[in-house]
Amino acid sequence: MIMKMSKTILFAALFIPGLLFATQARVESMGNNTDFIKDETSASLNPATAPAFGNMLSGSLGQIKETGNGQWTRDEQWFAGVLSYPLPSGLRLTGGVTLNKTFEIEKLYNSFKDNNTFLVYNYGDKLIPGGGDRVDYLDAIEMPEPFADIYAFGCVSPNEDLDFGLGVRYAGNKKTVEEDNAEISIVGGNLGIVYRFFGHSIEGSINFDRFSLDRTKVFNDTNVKDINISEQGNNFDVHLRSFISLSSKNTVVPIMILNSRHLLGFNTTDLGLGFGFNRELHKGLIWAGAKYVYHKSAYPDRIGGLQIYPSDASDVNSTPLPGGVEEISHKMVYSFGVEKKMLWDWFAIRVGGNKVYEYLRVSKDDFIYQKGLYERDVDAVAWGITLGTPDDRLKFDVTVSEAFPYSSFLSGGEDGVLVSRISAALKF
Amino acid sequence: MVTQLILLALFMALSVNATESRIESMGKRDIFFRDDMSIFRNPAGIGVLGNFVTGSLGFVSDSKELVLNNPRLVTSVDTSISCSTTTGGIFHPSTSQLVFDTSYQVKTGTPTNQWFGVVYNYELNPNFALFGGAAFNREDDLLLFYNAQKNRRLYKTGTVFPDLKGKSDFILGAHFGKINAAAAYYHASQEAKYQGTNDSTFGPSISLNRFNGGTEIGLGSHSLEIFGGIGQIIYSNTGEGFESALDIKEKTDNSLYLGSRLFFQTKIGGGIVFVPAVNYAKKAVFDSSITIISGGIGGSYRLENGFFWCGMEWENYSAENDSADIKESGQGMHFNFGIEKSLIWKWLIVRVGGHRYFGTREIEVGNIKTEEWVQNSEDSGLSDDLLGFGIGLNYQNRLRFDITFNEATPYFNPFGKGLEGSSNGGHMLLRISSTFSL
Repeated sequence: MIMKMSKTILFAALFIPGLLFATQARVESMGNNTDFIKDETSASLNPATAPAFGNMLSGSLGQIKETGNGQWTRDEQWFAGVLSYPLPSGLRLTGGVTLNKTFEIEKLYNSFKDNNTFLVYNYGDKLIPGGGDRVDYLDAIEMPEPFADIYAFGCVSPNEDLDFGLGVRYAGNKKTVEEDNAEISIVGGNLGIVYRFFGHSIEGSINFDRFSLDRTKVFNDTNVKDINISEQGNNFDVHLRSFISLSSKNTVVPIMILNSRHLLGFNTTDLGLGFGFNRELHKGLIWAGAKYVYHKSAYPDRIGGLQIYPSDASDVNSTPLPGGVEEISHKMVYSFGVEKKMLWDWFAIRVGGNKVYEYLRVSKDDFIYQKGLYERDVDAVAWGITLGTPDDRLKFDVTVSEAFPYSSFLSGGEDGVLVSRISAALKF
Repeated sequence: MVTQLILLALFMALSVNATESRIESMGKRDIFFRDDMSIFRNPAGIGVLGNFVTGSLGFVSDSKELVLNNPRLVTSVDTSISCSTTTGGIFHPSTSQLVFDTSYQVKTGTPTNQWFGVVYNYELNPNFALFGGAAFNREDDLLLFYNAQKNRRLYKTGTVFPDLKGKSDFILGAHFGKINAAAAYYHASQEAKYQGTNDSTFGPSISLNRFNGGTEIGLGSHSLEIFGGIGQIIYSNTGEGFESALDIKEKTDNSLYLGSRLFFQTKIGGGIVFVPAVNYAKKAVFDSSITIISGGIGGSYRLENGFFWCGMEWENYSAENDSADIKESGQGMHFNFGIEKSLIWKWLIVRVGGHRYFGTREIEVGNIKTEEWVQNSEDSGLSDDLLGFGIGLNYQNRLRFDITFNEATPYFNPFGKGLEGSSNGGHMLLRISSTFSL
């Protein structure tokens, strides 16, 4: 009996701090890294972590971004629900759905589009009229954006020490106009497990996603090559981490990550090993961690049968990489975050940092384009606040504009933007 | 008696703070939970909702037109329709004075769609009561459809579609034991006649009428609603000087809707209410029509000082417009949720809700056929986009003001001008509506 009770207390001590203030804005404003802390967003990678969060609704009003000329719009809006139901036999069933939360593979695909990675010849201004000599292939083929982004998962917890989870996800789009066809899809799933013992825990998950893009477009012009591309790629993520309790307040977190991605001829492999530390504060949490990542990637020479050209600009740090190059890098990722209730029980403040140092080698056919220290565009520091009920059941997490504190209170922020992201969670 | 008390407690809990703004900021749709606005779909609901005065100060939007009935209907191909007109408004043939403004993108910098109404129950004995109600200036679903077709501008210049006036609802019903039954009538019309050069009169006239009825049957702790209605739009366009794109002088279009939903009270999870619902609607005006069949299931749950609901509904629709030679059909699924909860103070209620629709559609414009997947937008500035939020100000549970916020408001400094660049424009609030329980 005492043993069972102590296990329950350990279970509660392990998870309650991780349940506080758990949303996307929280992660962003507290280190922008979930490797070393428990957060509801981790259910996307490992569904077996969801039962510990219990019944919950969460979502985001989105991140606000400038689209030009002082116009602002919000994207990355999503909502989700998790329901956990104990059976009389002691078994606990948990199910959840996330809608419209962009998948990792989709983010990679979008980054190719946003960065004009696949520049091809514009066939004398015919692929994209007025587009110039070189145009982005993904713009030229007018692919519809994948949507739905539905992720559903179910978990079985035979006892309070063990959770198994299985998730499936889908995003896609399809458009047919006469003989022209465009179809894109991301179909995937994951398997996860969480095992707890003597106040410690081990989490493991495998994610699989199959990316598929098919596009045919007939130009009825012998001077332009018809578009006919069919690309498929399999992507894997393996995550392993452990929360080892040193005391009731201190936890160390070793982590191992393996990513393998194949998309439109782009292949990348990341292998990461890291170590973090969590300390529970009075009404708060502080964490820090470091992770080494071996990164290797290769860009295709051609896409859809067309030659990929390098960007006109020569600065590889700020422009898309030319086709056919290979990247090899050694990264060190340092991150920390802290959150603490201040003044009132309904008000918490967070701050965090995330910095990546990378020793990068970019080459093609033994010709080295770049070699040396390199910094990708990662925002180093962010901060935010939480407004919620004193019992922490309802939370509004906010990422605050970093420009705002430097400006006049009456007009501060870029174009008066005070807040860059708002998300919320309700536990019931 | 106990059953009646349970039923009353159930419905009172579900009917708190029920106005347009509440729906808009809490999931966008009210198929699976009860609110004051549902009395215009099923007037028998007055028998369980009690006595109240309700209304709205209106809706503002700086970015998009107000009237968008079924916004998924023909949006991406509008620009390619050859017979779409681009001129703004209809002018008097003699004086060139602007008679009717039919410009496509109507910005509503000042509040529009203001309306008010009252409903009252008069108990004659414990098992029998009469109830009735009236509302003025409310825009009915059929009128929204008429306005949407008018604003799509698929007809050639010179076709006159007047704005309808005199919008009124009248409801009369009775409560018999466990059954409420009621009938309702909605009317809006316009008759614009002008004196011609040879003493003749000319101009369009239109009359929109809708008759509907419904019942609500108490089944122990459960409740069944069945409702339906017919609508009629009578159009005539007479006299010289005004041509008709329809090449007709008179036309009568009939509409029909039917629906049912069941509030099934369970003991699961402390009292989850499951709500299966089915609906059928056919709307027609001029040479446009749409038929929608939908069905789904939702559930609601009472929180401490709050309420949560969610639901999913499958929808199939087919629509056509002969003038523009457009045919469209599609099917998809709506996913919705909404939540409201008192926060910090009992008089302050915070609401948030989401609505996601995914589906497929097939559009034929002339000889060109397009098949595509569709979903509702994320941040379009429309009422039908992905997320919404708002607040309720509740005075002793009798007087309630419900407010839909511009979703961009909390992102901007209230003293700055950045909000003007957001999708919904510079207004901090988009809609204010209110209910006072008598």
